[in-house]
Amino acid sequence: MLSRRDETLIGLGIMALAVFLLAYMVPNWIVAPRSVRLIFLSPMFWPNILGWVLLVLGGLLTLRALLGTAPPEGQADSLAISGPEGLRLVVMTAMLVVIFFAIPVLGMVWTSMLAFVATVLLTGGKRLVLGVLVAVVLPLALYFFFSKVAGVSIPQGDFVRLP
Amino acid sequence: MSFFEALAAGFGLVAQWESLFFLALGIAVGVFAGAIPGMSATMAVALTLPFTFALDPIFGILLLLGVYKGGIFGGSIPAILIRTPGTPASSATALDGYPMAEQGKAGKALGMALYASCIADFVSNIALIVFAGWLAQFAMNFGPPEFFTLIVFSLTIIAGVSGDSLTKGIVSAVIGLLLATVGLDLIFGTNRFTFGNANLMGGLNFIAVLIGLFALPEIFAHVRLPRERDGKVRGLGHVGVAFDELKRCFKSIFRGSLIGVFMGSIPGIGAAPSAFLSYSEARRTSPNQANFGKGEIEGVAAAEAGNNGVAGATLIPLLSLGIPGDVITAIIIGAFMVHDLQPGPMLFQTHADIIYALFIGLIVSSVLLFFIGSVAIRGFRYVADIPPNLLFPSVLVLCIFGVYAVNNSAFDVGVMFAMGLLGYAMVLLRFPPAPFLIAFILGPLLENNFRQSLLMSQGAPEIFTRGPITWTFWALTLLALAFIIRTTVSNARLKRRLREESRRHGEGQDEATG
Amino acid sequence: MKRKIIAAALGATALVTGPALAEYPERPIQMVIPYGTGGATDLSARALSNPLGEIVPEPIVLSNRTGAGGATGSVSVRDADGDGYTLLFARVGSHSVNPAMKATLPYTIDEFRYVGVYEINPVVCAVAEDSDIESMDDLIARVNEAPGTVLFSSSGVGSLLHLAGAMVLDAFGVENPLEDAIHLPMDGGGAAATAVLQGTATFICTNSSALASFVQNEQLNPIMVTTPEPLEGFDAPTARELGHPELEQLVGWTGIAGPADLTDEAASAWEGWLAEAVQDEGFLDFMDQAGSQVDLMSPEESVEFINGQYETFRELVVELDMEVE
Repeated sequence: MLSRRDETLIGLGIMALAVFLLAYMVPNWIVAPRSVRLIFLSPMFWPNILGWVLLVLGGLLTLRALLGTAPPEGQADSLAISGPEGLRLVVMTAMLVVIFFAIPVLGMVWTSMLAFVATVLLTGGKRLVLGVLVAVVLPLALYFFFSKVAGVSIPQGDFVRLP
Repeated sequence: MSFFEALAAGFGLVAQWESLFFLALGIAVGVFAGAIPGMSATMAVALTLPFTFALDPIFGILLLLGVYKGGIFGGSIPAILIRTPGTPASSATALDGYPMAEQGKAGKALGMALYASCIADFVSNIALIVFAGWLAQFAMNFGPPEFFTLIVFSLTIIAGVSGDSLTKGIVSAVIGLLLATVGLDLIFGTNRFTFGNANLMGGLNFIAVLIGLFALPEIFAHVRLPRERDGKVRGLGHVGVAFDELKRCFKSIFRGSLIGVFMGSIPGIGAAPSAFLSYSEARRTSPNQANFGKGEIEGVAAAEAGNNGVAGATLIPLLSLGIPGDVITAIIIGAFMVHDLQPGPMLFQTHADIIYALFIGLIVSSVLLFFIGSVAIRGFRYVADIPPNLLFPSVLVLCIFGVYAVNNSAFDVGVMFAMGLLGYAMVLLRFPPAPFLIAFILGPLLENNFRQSLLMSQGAPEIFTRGPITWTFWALTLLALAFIIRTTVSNARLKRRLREESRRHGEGQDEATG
Repeated sequence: MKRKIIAAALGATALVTGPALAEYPERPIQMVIPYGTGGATDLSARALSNPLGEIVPEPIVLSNRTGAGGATGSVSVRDADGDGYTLLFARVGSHSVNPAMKATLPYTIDEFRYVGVYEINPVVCAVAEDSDIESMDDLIARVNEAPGTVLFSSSGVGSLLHLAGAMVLDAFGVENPLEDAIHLPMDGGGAAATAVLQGTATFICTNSSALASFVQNEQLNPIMVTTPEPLEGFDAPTARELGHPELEQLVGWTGIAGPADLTDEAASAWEGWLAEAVQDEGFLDFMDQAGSQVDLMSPEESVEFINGQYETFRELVVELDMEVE
């Protein structure tokens, strides 16, 4: 269980999400045809119901966190992330974004090799030699399996094409 | 196709060397992956899925079922040897398995785990074969209203048994239902949450969501805290179980198998509760009650039997109704769908040969598991040496290639990354991811059957109570709700009492010391 | 050790990058199938790819890119380079029904260059074997007598099945086909056939290939086919025999298309390959079994055919107010 403060924030966050959904997402991003005879059949019906359910659940979570018994001092799980840990998570997230945009440009095989080495370095860089070896062999093996055996055309990128 | 024709056709499909090869390969991959601490059977099945596209449907599905069965057994190896359960369901095994390892009897514990697993697996498969066809026959009469009520019932149970917090479990399921609405509306064909993107018009790819949700958070967790593996691997000692020991445990194994079959056939419960129930029943009735938790071989047998007894039975609702009982079967549905096979009553009509081939293959798998498992027990030392700092980048690369291959779409790789972030956030905030995934699969079924029913009845809601089948499911839903509310309330009461007791205890100590 | 491997990998790739300007094709050609495996488009594409694989000098890679009734795959090819290395198996659903019905479709049929339509697949209307409806007349009588009790299933809004059901009822003189009969969209063609089979829906009109096995097993009973000649394996009158030759427009088809800027070199190469591939005996046998007619159209004929079908469908969509906004 998390601390009372964290649980309250989660409840409020869920409620905010529900309001955002009901007030902005559903009206703006769902197209309902002119001629819906029954409200139950409208494409908006389910998402609206889900939004309201989410709102109620968020309220319940908040209330429970505020009114229920909080876990005793020192027994709550902490959400705190230390500086270096947070930094690594942010770098990892940024790396995923870079991978996504690099795939069409560099090709999936080269991107994967770089991503592999980068992840090894990010987590301390132990066994780097073995790591680089796996980084080269694994994407190549997967490439040959998928493109030659499974008949999937793996994205090749603009620079160096594999056979 | 008559029953015997189908059986013969199924036999023809299995009796090819490829079928046996892929089944054995699957079991080997499953045992191997399940044995790696930090990899779960779920991850193993999810990562194997993309490799099955190139295969014939029957080979692909047998491969995945092999991974499933192997993974569940494989998880017990690290549970016993280093007290790190490979899958949550193996936690019960560690209760007595690890103390046995400490006493130098790891080989015996692993041997018993293997016997119990194979026997329970066999019993479970028999249950599947007996019940699935019968249930599918019955479900042939289901129209949209019947399916709607069935799914309402299943979702109720799934949300209800989803971990510590009922509310968080339901929130998780609702978010799954919401993400499932992305794409073209079924009834009117209009856009929902597509943001003008042609890739989103097809909805979020299920396999991308699943791999993102179950494999990437492990990578994040490793990146956050890159830890070398600690925990010493215990020596095996003598491998094997004496016959009278097996005989002594036989009752517990059989009871555990039946518990597994029962719990597995209800959607949403899964292997871990079954393993614990089987373990506690064995402890309650065993003459060696006092030895439980200190290295009692019967405890290992009971836990593993309860754990593996689920494996065949979860396929009953999957095959006959098209409803996945747990996360792994939800992934196996994906294997059917990529081959354009929709699990459900119709599958027994249109592809009876595949169904019977699966049945026969599953029976064979219990035997194969026995041999492959015996080898794996001795080879675990090498698996435990795989360094985590190379394992997780490999998983990342596997995820990228695998998800791309599903639909030849780099966009899906992006969906997987986004779901990975969401999944890790859910782990941090203590939201269980399993209800999310199952709701994501059942969501479109729930909504579509609801709206199709109303289309059929021209808007009259009475259609949801037509006939005895819908009534039965409504009654079951109410029953499940009552049960869930009762257990939630009594759990909360229990927790409060425990807390008060510990506080009183603490105060008492303070007084004594002060 | 590792340096050697990297060097070897680089060496291997250098070999294939070689001379930049060579004759088309110099590398594998990706062909996108905008529907899932096992569907009518997929089966047709895979059957054709067998002879094509022997004729085309480079390998052909088939990729299923499903989603949004064929739109996702179609858009991915429209946005691809016109260098001839990414082509599409265009289908009646993605390239005439969808454009006719959906105002917000992210592509138009003019954004593709058609190499050739190679297969025509007739539409069959069918009811469950145990239904008391035995002919089109019975069906129309039922719709007119008890409006709102007849349902027809489809594989989704904007599918051929959706349009076909409405078009058939309209041709047979039902006043408001979409109010007197109810359109029941199901999730995919298999589910649509199942709905009729177990009695949730009353009838279905879809490609003969999708119904062949059900009709063979005597689970569904065909009541009309849209070919000029009776169709083997389907014991039902033709639309012409029932006095509605205009329904012969209602056919499925499969063809090959590239992005609008497809090079002339690639287009003419494909014209030659296609002409050769459709002669293949195995391919013809397979298509015959599915009830399809192999009839290769030239690029000009293809465009004319697709536009003609689009116009017919568009007219019906406007008349019945079926447009999806």
